[in-house]
Amino acid sequence: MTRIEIRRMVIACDAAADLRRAVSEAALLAAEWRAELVGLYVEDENLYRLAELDIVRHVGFSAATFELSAAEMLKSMLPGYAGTMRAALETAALQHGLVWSFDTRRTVPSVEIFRELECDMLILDAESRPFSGDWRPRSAWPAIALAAARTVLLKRRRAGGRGTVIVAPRGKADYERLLATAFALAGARDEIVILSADPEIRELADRIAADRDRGYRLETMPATIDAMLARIDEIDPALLVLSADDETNTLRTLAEGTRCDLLLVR
Amino acid sequence: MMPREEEWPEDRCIMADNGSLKDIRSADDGAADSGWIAGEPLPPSIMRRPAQFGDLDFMTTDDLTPLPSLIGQERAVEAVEFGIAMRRPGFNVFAFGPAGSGKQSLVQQLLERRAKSEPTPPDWCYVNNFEDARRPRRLMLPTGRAIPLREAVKRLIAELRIALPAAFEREEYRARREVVEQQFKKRQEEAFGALERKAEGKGIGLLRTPVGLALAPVQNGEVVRPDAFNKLPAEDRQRIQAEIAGLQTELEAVVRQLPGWERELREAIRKLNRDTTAVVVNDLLTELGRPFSDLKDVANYLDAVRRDLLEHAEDFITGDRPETPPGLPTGVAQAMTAESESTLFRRYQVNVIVDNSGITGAPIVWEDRPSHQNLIGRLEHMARFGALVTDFNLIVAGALHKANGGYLVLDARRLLMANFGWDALKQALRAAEIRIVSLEQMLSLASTVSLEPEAIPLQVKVVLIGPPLLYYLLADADPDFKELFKVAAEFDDRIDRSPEATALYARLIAGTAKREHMRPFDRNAIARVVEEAARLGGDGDKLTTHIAEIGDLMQEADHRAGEAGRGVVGRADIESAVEARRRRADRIYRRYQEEILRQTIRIETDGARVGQINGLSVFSLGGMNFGNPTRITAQVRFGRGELIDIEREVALGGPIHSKGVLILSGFLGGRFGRNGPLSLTASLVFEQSYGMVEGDSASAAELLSLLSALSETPIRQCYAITGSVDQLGRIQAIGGVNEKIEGYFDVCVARGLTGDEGVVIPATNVRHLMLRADVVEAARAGKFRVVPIETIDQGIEILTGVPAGIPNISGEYPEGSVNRRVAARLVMLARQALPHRAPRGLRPRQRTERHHDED
Repeated sequence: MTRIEIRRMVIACDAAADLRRAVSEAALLAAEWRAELVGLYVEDENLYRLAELDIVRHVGFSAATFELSAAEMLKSMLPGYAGTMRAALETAALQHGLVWSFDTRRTVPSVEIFRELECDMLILDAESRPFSGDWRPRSAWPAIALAAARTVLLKRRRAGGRGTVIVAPRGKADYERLLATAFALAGARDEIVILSADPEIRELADRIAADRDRGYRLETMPATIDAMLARIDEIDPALLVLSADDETNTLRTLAEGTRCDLLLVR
Repeated sequence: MMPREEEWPEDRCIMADNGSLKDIRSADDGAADSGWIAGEPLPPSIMRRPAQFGDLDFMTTDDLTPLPSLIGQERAVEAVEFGIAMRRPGFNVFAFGPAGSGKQSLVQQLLERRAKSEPTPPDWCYVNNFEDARRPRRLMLPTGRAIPLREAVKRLIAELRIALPAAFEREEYRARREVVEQQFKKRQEEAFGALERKAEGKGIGLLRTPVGLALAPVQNGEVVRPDAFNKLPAEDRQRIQAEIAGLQTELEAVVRQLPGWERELREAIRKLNRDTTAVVVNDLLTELGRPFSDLKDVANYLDAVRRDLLEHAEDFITGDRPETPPGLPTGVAQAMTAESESTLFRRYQVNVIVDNSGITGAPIVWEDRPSHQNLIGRLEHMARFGALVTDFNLIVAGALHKANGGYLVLDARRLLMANFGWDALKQALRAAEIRIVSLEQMLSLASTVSLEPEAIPLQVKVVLIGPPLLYYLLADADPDFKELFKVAAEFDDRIDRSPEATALYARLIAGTAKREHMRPFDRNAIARVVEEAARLGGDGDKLTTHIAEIGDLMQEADHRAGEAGRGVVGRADIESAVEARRRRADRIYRRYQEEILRQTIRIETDGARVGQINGLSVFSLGGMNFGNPTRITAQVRFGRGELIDIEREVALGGPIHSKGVLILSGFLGGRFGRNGPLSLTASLVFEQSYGMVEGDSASAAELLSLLSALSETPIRQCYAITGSVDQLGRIQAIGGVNEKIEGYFDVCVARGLTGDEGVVIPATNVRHLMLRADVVEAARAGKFRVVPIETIDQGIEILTGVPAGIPNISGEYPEGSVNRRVAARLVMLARQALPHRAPRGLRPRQRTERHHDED
């Protein structure tokens, strides 16, 4: 029986991140797996630099006005965001009875942050907070998620949808870990599972599904990446599970072509 | 020896005060017609009048046509009928009379009779006021239409709870919304994306900061360090600064457009939501409104519901509802969500406060607890997450709502005792509307936001039922009362005891027996009940209207008949019940009698005494009256014309008693003091009396004891006497004559009747006699007598056996008469007084006033 041990989960964000959904999801999963939850707040070095540059001007939220004193205000506000995240994490941890901790690092957000970090799963939010309406400046975290050498759950905005779609392309050796992790997460989220793979994976999938006491539906993987995107769009899942070790370069395409939550298994 | 009944003389005359003979057949008291003579023992047949049913032929109550309610209250019936028929403001009815006189049953009967033929009033509801939720709207519907409307709305809500979220979950809606949102996003993306790309091309990054957006020079995805930037050549720095300034201008232009774009998005989504809601709502509301299409108010209300549903279409989209505050326990969060959903649809419910569908004719409402809230309705509250909240669904009707269009019957005493009930009723009647105001608001005890439901027009006839005292107090003390209760319906406590009335009474007894599922009462039992009714009325010529008491007696007799295994209630059962009721209440009476027999309380029933007489008093215990003899003594001596009422001296005499004693002074002065002052001091006392003495029914006894003392003529102790006396020596009627006679009779029986014992009563009380059967039986056997008198002189002769004496033309009394002796004694006392200061006449002594130091 394949057991996926998720003992330590790390949720990371910066001042731009929309952390509420990620914290909520991380707490639920940590409670399900009885894992320790670690909050990591990244004080974005870029913003400190920006505050030091006197040529920088800010545009406010509700009106296009220049705020000449914003740099100083910015410097004073950044540490405060760490407190916000810590409070959200503490509330969620208390609600679910979790073991938790919190850390702050001042650096430029990059994959390097996680290189030395001990964790079984990273949870990141793909979106920055919206700016005056629904427009959100690009966030650094999706790129970091793709590059990180960890299993990552990337929370993204989702208009709706239900179910977990696992994409298991031919030629991958580590199907077992991919499926075990995907079924575990689907179980925790109480989602139905649709496996998109070659039929020969059925035996393995049956065993893992039986271990997890969950059913699944096997669909033959579409032949092209476009067809696969079309099928995923049709299913409209809540979670897409991909192997981060994919050598066919479908990872980035599938990640960027969909809008649901993304689990990258490594 | 006393004459036997059959020996009573047919034709007798009595001697008047002035000495002339008076033909008793022409006496205005009707004594001669009834076969008795003042100053002579009464024939036994006079002492208790048996029931006579006239032509009514029956064996038991089963043979009688039951009479459901009171008889002989024509005046009250007329008043109530007028009051309930009169459709003008203020003509409400106050029905008053003694307790148990059948007011309620009569009012109920009259109201039922009238209400049956009147139209059933409409139903009333409260619905949400979508423009101002604090002021719920009233909704009037024809009788029986409110519940169907409420149920139809319930079904609508049930449908909406499923259909509306489903409509917003539908692919079609999501797709249309996606299109709208994508258009907005696309517009944003295009604007910001173009700017972002343009900035990137110039080595400028667009960054999200806690306070907005910022443009800064970037290199390899990182903001250029300030020191590195400062090391750049000046022209490069100026170029970058100029680029940033230019981009900022463009960014500003884009951002300025954002609010407008968002408004457009919101409007587009709102329109989409409205359209989606309308598809569901229009069909459902059209279907719902069809059965009520004839009701304009309902149509207007349903239109308001439709507008509100469309206005709040977003509220029905589950995903768009505000989330519960973070950090709440899961159970609480779920409860809040469910509560939120429930609240969302509560606003469309219909609160039926009055449903008259089950009523035929006008409603008659009896409110037993007429408090402020129970009369005008109330606003209930429910706890929601620690707070008390209310809405129009929690409006509860009061008795006035339920009686609107009909009749409201209230117990006046309870109304006045209930918290602010009287004020609430008056206010509603004055304004002719029911406005629900909580007590807290009315008394300004709470300033929290609450509801102000629209007032409901009031058209009701109120009937108050209460004792006479309350009527007179209200009429005197409350200026509103006469304006609002213009019809007084006074119930008498007695009715005339004619054969016709007796026959009706028998039918009333039959009605009571039938209504209360009692055994049949035979003719003799009914006769005994009628006799008891006369006894309770305290008058042989009257019957009590205390139907409740008669009903209780019948119930007990019925029970006793059942215990004895009889299928029909007989006279013995009534007798047994009467005796048992008396026995249950007579402990104190028996104790008093016992003490008399043991001579602890000294009452003599044989021999003769100067200045001592047996008076009679009556006392009430547990609603029953008992009579007892009381020894009254008088002492006279030389003095200054003072009459000392010892009871008054020690503040144990009531004002009426004192008045009676003062009248004695008047009598003595008038008869014996015309030619000179009265030089005596006399004292009167109720021996062994330690409580308050009130009433003047002993004044004749007091006068006789005084005359006995003055004349030194012994009084026969085998007699007791009751009656009041006026200044001219005429005997006047008193109350409780039956009980007084029986009280003395019981003492005499216990000591053994010798045939000499008797009671002297006012002749005007003869018609009130309804004595116990054993008293009548003793009289019939010649062992006890009841002697009516009209004058004090008759009393003197009966109690002393000595002629009273009639003055001759010179004003002198015959030798040996009591009056002669009195006059002689007074002359003697006057002579003794000559060496002293001349007295002014016999007068009661001034009582010493005691002033208490208030400090």
